[in-house]
Amino acid sequence: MKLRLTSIQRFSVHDGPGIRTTLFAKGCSIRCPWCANPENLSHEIQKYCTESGVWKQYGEDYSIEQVFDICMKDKNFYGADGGITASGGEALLQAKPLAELFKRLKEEQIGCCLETSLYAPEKNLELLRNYLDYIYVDMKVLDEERADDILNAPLQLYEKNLKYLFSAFPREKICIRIPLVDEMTFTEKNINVISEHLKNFQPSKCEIFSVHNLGSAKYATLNLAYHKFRKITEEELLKVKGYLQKQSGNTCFVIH
Amino acid sequence: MILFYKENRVAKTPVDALKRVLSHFREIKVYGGSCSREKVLEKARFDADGCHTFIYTWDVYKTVKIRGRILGNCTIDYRKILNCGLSHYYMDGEDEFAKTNNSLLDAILTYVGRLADFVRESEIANRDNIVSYLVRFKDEPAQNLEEALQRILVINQIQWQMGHILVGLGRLDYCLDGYVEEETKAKRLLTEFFSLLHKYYTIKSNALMGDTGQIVILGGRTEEGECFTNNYTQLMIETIQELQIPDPKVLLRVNRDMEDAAWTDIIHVMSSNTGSPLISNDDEIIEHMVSFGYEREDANNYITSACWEPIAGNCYEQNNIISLNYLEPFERISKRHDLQKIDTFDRLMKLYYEELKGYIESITGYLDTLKWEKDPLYSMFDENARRCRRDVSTGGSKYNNYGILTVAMANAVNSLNNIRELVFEKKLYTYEELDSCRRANFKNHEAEYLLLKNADKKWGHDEDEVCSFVNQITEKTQIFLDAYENPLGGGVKFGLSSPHYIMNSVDYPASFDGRRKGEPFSVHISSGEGIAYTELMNFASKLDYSGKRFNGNVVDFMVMPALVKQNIAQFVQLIKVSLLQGCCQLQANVIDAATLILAKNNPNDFPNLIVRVWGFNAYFNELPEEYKDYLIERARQNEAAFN
Ligand code: SF4
Repeated sequence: MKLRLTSIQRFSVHDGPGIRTTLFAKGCSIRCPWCANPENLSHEIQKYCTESGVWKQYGEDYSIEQVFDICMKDKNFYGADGGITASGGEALLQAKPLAELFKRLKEEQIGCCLETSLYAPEKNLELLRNYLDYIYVDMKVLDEERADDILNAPLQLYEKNLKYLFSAFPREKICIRIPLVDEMTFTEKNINVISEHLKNFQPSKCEIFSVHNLGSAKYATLNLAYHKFRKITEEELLKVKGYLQKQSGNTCFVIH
Repeated sequence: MILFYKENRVAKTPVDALKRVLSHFREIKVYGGSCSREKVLEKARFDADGCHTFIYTWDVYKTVKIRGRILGNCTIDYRKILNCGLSHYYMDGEDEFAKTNNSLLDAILTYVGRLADFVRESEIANRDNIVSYLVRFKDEPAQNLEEALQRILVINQIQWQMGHILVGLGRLDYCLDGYVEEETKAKRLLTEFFSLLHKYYTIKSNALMGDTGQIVILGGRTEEGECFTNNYTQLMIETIQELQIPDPKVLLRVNRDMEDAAWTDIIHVMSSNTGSPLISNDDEIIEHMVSFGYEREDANNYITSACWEPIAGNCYEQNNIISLNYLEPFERISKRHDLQKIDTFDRLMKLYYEELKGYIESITGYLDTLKWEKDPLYSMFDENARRCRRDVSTGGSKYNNYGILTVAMANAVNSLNNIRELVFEKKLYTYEELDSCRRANFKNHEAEYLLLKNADKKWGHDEDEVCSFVNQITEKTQIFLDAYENPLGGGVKFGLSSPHYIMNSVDYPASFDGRRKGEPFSVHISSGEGIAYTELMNFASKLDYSGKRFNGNVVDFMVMPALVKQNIAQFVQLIKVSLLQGCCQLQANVIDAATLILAKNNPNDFPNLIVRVWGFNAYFNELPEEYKDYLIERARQNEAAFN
């Protein structure tokens, strides 16, 4: 069993508490137009040429043992809070090998965390159920008239998984992440639907942020069209934060 | 000449620098012959610029003629001077040592007397107190913090006046322990104290602006081994931080018994971007010093030569004499051996070590030729020298080891790895072919250059194989140094940090790691290619610093300010665990490439931007361009890891 990853980032501080090692899984089932990691979209290994003319590839197959060994290198640094985060792409699409890896990491008392869009078969979440200490869940486009078109995937699947998630895990283990993207997630209607969801599910924490326009160089290496989005202002972020907090009674943070 | 050189570093044009020196031409006097030190002390003029609570003055135009090499990077034991008056240092007997000592001490006391007269006549606000402190200096201990600081300043200025360079400040919090002072007053006193030490910044700066050697050692352990901090530890860090000046700089001794809050404070200070502190790991360094041969009490009381090289508290070891260049064996192999016969990696390593040995012999040969200037001042304050009546410059100190430094270990390790892969594994070239590309500085060999430059660099990765390879090379180094005894009767030690990573790389031939001729060597223990901090720290922790290898091993890393400010807890964990795992010393530049580029292009907008250079802090704008560019390049490489 192998894990197909585009990179393994050590000393990761943006993907969960403490010092972490983040695994970027290759392959995603949806297509967010603002995606900053286009190399993680396709599950296929992709060759590309760097600016200096060197051929490289996006993606590599790792045995569980290999990834486990790399994760273990920083064990001393994880402490009580840190650990491993599976991100992507959509790490849930590789739930089987991931469960195998997490099982071994848990035996070493290393915390395991998942970052997911929830666009994956429900059983995949079940596979990881026993190993997850913390879950970051995206809330992107929930407006049912536009979601399927924008993300190129069925919103129904997301809703089903979200319900399962909140039934399977205590709310303290769940953080919702909301990327604000102009005219995509950042519309009045969408914010209202998100607010409804937060009210219903009551996650312990919620993070709002503006997406950055950093992935353009990677899009070029893959010959993919790149969409640039207007940066959401600090003022807008704070306004949404205030609104969501008021409507849903949730703790929202703005992160940068 | 030296004055012109120093003034020229900050003057708008060389003509301005020349004018400045010429305007003092009549005052310039170099005293030689017998009693030259006494003459300088007799003739030195005083100035009260910047003085309110203290007097601190150095006549930079009067100096002693230095024929040999003057002892530098030293720190007098200020503690003792605070506890007894100067007259305590008179010696009985008619021997040469005692006579020289007493003559110099007479001159010092006369100098202090003249200084008191000067202050009495001056407009200095605190003159009455200063005068009484100077009078009491002869026979009395210092009674309060103000008097103690004044005493340190006077002894400090005398060292500069005698032509000493890189004068250290020692364990200031430890030496002031017991002087109780209300915090606001203490802070005010320390603020003026540190500002005055910054007074002759341009002239004090040695190899580069900022390289003054004025290092304050804080924290640590007592001689008995107890964990030590007092209210001055934090207060001094805070004061220096608030002054926003690059100098004096702080080295903070830390240990595993420190509380979490103290670690958080350290990270906050680091993130303030004044380049300080350098963090020095007592748990490692003390043990290595003891097994090298220092008595535990002296190891517990260690200080460092100007930057990072550990030395026992009260002695005058010379620790920054020359840098061994780990690329040099490649040059020697090229010149002396039939390259066609290098047909296996083992054969290459055999030659590398053979040439390393020869090269080290030439270094120790050079060490044997060093002649140190007689030093009655430092001998006066050295217990052992006084006991055996032997000048510290000829081995009178309790410890008389030499310290050397090393450069380009990373370049050598990456080179050897490239050669192994391209010549002996993939067999794309013979050693001779690759060496000729290198010697031609890759001219007309762009393909080979790119191949070497873009190859996976091994240095900095926490793979056991890489670490044990580095350890093997340092082990050989210490074996080759093993039999060496220096003319003062001490041994020799070395480490993986050096100030010479740019100075020694100028015009130095290209290397097999894809470094072109003249490009800088890698800095200390650092990673240039976006290696994660945890990986770099693991790597550094696995290096062996035992035996003779503890003479300064600094992990040097760049951090984006926002990253550290938003993740204080993670950086606390990073630094703490790294030290627990065995890293010896750490320093950081908390700065991003964009700011450095802006500052380079618009120097007037960034007059106070401070950066960490090899082991000191400096104004970015005052650095030579090659140092600025190298910092920018390193910041860029670091940021690449996070994007
Ligand atoms: S879920 Fe993540 S990886 Fe997938 S398309 Fe969206 S942003 Fe990209």
